[in-house]
Amino acid sequence: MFDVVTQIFPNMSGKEIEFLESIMQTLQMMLYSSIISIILGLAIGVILTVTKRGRILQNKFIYNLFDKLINVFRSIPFIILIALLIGFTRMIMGTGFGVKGAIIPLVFGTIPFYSRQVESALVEIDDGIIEAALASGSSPLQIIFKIYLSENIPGLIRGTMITMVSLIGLTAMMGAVGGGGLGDFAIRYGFQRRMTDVTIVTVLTILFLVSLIQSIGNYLIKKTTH
Amino acid sequence: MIELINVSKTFDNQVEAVKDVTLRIKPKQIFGIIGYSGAGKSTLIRLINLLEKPDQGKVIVDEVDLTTLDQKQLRQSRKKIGMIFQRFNLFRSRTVFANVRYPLEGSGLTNIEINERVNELLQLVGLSDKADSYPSQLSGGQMQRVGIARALANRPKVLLCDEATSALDPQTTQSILKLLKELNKKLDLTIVVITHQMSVVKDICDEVAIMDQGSVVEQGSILDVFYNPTYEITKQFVHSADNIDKVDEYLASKRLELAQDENLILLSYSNINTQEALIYNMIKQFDIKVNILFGNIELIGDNPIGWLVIIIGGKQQDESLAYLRANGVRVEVKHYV
Repeated sequence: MFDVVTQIFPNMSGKEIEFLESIMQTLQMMLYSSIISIILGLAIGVILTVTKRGRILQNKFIYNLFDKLINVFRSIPFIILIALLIGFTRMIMGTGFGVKGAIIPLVFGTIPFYSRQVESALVEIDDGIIEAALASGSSPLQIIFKIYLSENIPGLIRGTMITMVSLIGLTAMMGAVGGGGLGDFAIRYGFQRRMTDVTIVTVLTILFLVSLIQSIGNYLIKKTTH
Repeated sequence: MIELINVSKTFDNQVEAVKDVTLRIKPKQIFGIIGYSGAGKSTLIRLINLLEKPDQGKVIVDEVDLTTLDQKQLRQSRKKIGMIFQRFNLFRSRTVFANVRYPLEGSGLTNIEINERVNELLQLVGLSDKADSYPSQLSGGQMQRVGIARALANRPKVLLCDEATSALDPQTTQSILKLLKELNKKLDLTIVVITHQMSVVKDICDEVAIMDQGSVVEQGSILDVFYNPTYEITKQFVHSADNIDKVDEYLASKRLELAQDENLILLSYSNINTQEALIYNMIKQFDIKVNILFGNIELIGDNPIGWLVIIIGGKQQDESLAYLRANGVRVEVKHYV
């Protein structure tokens, strides 16, 4: 397969192993940071939803705290966020480089965005449905798990899909500051050595990743919509 | 069964939704609360299961004052108070079967017992064949039946109906009302119905309360309220179910010509005397002429209430009207001309 690739994109020859490693690094960054972000983002999204005024666990302090924190982190450009977090990253992970060094900035860059996606998916659930559950004697915890996190699965999948796609963008940016992965590969060869065909191969690979995420997402949405 | 004692509720935006309401609802009764939108009836029904917390007053259901309970006790009490809604509020991601199962999950019953109970409930509301459908595949009437089955899952003693038929067409409304009436008899269920449709109250309620601007202005047996409405707002509701106001308009627009000795009379009567041939007897007994313009009989529960608009002429008018009054007919002289 690689023979065909090197015929069309001559500068790819000799970089097969490195290219595959870059893909693996990108996938690793995606995997670890999305697992952490999805868990924490779901939690924060739920907290935002239930502590809002008039909701089942209304709490002005907690709502405002998370609401403001999200706004602060969302307004910091990602490349600056990386710099800002470098000390923290080294402290926790022991290094600021490579896949290990990338996870913390990626998680911090993703959670605020994903929390808002979760919040807007949960807001779509009709208050009447919550009321019906309350009237039948459900506890707040039952409502969170059996209604909020179950009633709009398609909406949650859509938000997750959008977040994963934007996460790919963030992993590429990590490459510029020593995070490795496809972004790093494209910058080192495509940009710094002007091997445009290498850039094109990277773009095609990322395009494939994005459409893969979208097809899986759309399939799951279709499966869970009733 | 249900007692509200001096209950008030004011919202954050200073709207006084419910003002000092006291209501007693007897067991096994179908109790109607009627009012225009904004009258506070939605808030009032939510005070019964404490979905809205009253600012003051007591809410006693089945001899327990709900306002004194902690959250956990309140949740237990709510299991014994079913509720259905105008927009059904079914869980969209769950099948009909799973919707009805919801209140039973975690109730300590085994899976087999739960499945048995759900099937029993689906049979009760006539939806056994729809167990695996999703709410989006059902009609409004079917969705409300699922709502009813779900509300009855924990064998409640009380069923609260929040405008349960307002989103349904007249035929479906009738079938849901019939079902509610059956359940009331079969399960000894106390049912509270809030509505703005007088026809709903007329068809199924034993007693009715009329709400206006947060207060209950009139309350009594459905027959009393229908036959002797005191407040203007009650009269409006009563006349929305018959069409006596339209007759008034019609007569006024016709500019009816009455001869000098003729009078236009509205007669109304309740069940006590619909069996007798009063008009016939009156004409036979007195020297009068009677011309019947309009008439109507309403069935309120099992009791007929009727009215007639007549033109009466002749010499013995006063005597004949006195005869009618003596027989329990209400006589009202109308002046359209």
